[in-house]
Amino acid sequence: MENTIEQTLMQETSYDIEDQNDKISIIDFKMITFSLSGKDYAIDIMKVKEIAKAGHFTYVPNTSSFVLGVHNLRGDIIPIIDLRIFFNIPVEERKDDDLENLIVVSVGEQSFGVVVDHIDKVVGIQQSSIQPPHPLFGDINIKYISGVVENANRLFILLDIDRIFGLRQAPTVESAKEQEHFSPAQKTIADHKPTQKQETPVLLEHKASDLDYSFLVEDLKVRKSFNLSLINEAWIKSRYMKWLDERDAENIQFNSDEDAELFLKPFASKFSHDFWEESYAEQLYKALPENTAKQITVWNPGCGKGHESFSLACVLKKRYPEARIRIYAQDTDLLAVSSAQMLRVPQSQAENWYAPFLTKTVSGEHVFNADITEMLFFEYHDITHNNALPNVDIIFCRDVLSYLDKEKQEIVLEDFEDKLKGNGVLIIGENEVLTNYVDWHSKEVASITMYTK
Amino acid sequence: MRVEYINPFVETAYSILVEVLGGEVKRDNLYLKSTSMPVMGVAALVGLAGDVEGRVLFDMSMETALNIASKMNDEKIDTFDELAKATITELANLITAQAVTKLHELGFKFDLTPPALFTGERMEISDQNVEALIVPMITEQGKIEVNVAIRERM
Repeated sequence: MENTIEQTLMQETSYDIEDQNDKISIIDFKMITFSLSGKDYAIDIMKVKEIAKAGHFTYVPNTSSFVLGVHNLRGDIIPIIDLRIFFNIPVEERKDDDLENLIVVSVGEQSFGVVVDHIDKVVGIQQSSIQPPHPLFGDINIKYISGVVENANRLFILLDIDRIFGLRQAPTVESAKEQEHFSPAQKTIADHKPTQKQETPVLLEHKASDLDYSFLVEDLKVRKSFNLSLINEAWIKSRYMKWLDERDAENIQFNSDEDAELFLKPFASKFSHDFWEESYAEQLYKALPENTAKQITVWNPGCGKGHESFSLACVLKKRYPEARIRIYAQDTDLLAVSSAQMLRVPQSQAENWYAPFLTKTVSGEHVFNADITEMLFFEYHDITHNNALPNVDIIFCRDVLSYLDKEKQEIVLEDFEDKLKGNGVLIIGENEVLTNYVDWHSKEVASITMYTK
Repeated sequence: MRVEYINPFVETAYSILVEVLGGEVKRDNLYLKSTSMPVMGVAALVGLAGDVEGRVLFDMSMETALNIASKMNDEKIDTFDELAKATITELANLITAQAVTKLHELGFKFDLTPPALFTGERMEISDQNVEALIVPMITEQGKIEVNVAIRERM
């Protein structure tokens, strides 16, 4: 901080005493002082609108614990925050009819009421005498403190109101962080790590130092429209190690589309363009969560020729026999998706676990029965565009995200989050992960990884 | 867009255009477009409401519109007058009506609005939340884009 440097320089000069006197005489900063459980705190007076005594706040359900409710301040409804709860300072038991000491602060255009123990007085100081907070301050998370001031032998902790109440207009990455300032200080510390993860999307530059596969990444993008992102970075890295073992030194680069295909071959999830083996169907059956809803809606982007959608339909039918199930199966390949409806099941598959869901056509071919076909809606649709889907219980989207541009992946993931119901699950490709996204939580059931919001 | 909806529109657009314009009609590759789309100059719009809702838009340049109107009326039309407008409106009606009849046979029931005609330069039509299927038709008179945006009612 500039002030301190200036200050230390000043202190080193021989005019030490004179300066000290100056500091007392020039008052350019006023603050309101108050106490929280016996300790002294202060707020910049310019942030304070008024001081009041109030009580009987109107409780608002489902808010954080430190929000006491709302209060009608001469016609303005303002939220009331208890700083003691916010900072995890013990609160004395409140009597019902007690009036609380309230400091009304304004942050931007919004006003907040802050409940404190005692309001002391207005103290005038010189701005340069504010000292930066020391990292050892335990009580309150350091980022909420703008400094420490000494006055009349008392130390006041100067709170940064803007930070506590958050600046909503902060730029994107910041805004998520700032919003967290609404939660108790301790929670913010706990949440800090995942937030940081999100802030480091510097993939290529970072990795290039230890493992240079950036040339492959570019080639994959051009040849196979496969895009490196946080979703598949781990896979690419491990695949590249194996690739180095498999190939001669001269052949590391892709000489043709076939090479790129070979590289990507292990990426494909099990049976993603084929009929499922019973073992996989069984795993999925076990992994699907309990759902007693009458109507279950499923979103299956990238359905291709429909093998996956039909197989999924069979598993769901078995898992939720009572529910009405709708599967929206979509693809951007018009030919594939148009022919999906007419999918024929070869004889070799017709006698395994698919058997109960099949029927025979006049010409003796095996097709899925009406119960299954009725569940499916095949659509020609590009998931990066707007869609008219209702909220869904299950999103089954294997090996699709990685083939979209990085920006589009973000858009689609946002869309997923938007459309997925609170108890819904998202299933993505076996070699794709969402662990770098704070909004998604993974769980593994029956060796199938699912994500919830 | 459900795949069932696509074919009726593609088929009828083709067959009607061949019937009324004669000559060779070619179909270009279908594609999807998100929300807003610029209009080439003349656009006829037919609304759909019922089990399925949305709209069908026939988009062409002024030159194409005049060529088509001339051809369909068997006389040279140079200005986009009442007759030309009525002709383009009728063409939109013909195609949509037949496509809808086909969809009716498949079990989708809905009504049509009378066609509305838009002309002007540098226009853009946008509708939220619906993705449009574009069926480009190349005729001897010029290119017509049939722009179908329909979805099930929620």
